[in-house]
Amino acid sequence: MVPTLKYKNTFPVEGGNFDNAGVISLQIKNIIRDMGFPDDIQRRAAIAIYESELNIISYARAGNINVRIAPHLICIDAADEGPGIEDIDRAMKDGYSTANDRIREMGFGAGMGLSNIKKCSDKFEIISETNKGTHLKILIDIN
Amino acid sequence: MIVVNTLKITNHQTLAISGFNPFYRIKSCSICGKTEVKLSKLIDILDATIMSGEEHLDMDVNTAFSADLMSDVLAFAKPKSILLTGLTNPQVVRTASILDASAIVIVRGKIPPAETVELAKELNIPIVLTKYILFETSGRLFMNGMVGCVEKIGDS
Ligand SMILES: Nc1ncnc2c1ncn2[C@@H]1O[C@H](COP(=O)(O)OP(=O)(O)OP(=O)(O)O)[C@@H](O)[C@H]1O
Ligand SMILES: [Mg+2]
Repeated sequence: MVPTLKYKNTFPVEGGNFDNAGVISLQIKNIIRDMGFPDDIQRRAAIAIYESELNIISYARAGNINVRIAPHLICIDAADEGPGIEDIDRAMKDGYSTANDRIREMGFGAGMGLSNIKKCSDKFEIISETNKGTHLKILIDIN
Repeated sequence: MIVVNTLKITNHQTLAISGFNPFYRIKSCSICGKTEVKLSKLIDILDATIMSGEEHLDMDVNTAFSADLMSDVLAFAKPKSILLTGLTNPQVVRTASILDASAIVIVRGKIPPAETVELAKELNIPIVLTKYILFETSGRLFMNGMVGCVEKIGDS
């Protein structure tokens, strides 16, 4: 059975626009909070979305973050057009990063993002094609 | 002779003489088990100034996380902790807000740009500035009863 959606929206993310990094994540976090989800769920969703948003800004040309919220489930799809991830297992390893100086200056590029998204999700999948793009599928189970 | 003696004393004796005993740490309340550090006290301890969030001076700040890597903060910090960092860009404020951090302490005498302070006001997160280095900042707060929001990785 398909659960009834309480909320659904798509947020465009512009690659390379570091000035606004995190704006979308904070916006979605407020929506989740206003819907009355527990602190821990808000936090996990916010961290997963923030790390996804930062990766699109850091590595891709453009992307979309799609959020669907059902009473017991938060479903996040972060899809981008960009270089893709050649070796997903390697990218998932803590400490692996190809971040440039711009990203590092902001305090990112520790190579922790993807594994932290996994830690925050109940289900996490990466689909990526080199020179096309990356799609992160994140599920957070409220129960 | 006296000069020679002074030279011979060990490091922590020197510190004890100067009133800075490295083994002295304020213990938690024996009744409720809590150490209460308010933001106003933290500012005292760190000889700090507050740049935003003056209305939060009475807030309890009992746990902290120190890092210059935001992705480490995102991976390891716990809610309601304060963030001690040497970074000053607006991203620090957004990261703190994502994590429900209760305040940001900027160390090493760095002055944040106006947009960072503006954003902190907007997101209602206090920013405190201290000239102490990160090690000293953490150490002084620890001696006064604050603790890390996690002690070791893997203990959560
Ligand atoms: N959307 C993406 N498109 C292309 N490459 C990506 C994308 N997301 C991640 N990567 C690659 O995977 C690596 C690891 O990503 P991860 O988010 O784990 O760490 P990071 O972004 O390097 O640093 P951190 O997230 O800790 O700030 C990146 O350095 C990059 O090479
Ligand atoms: Mg990342």
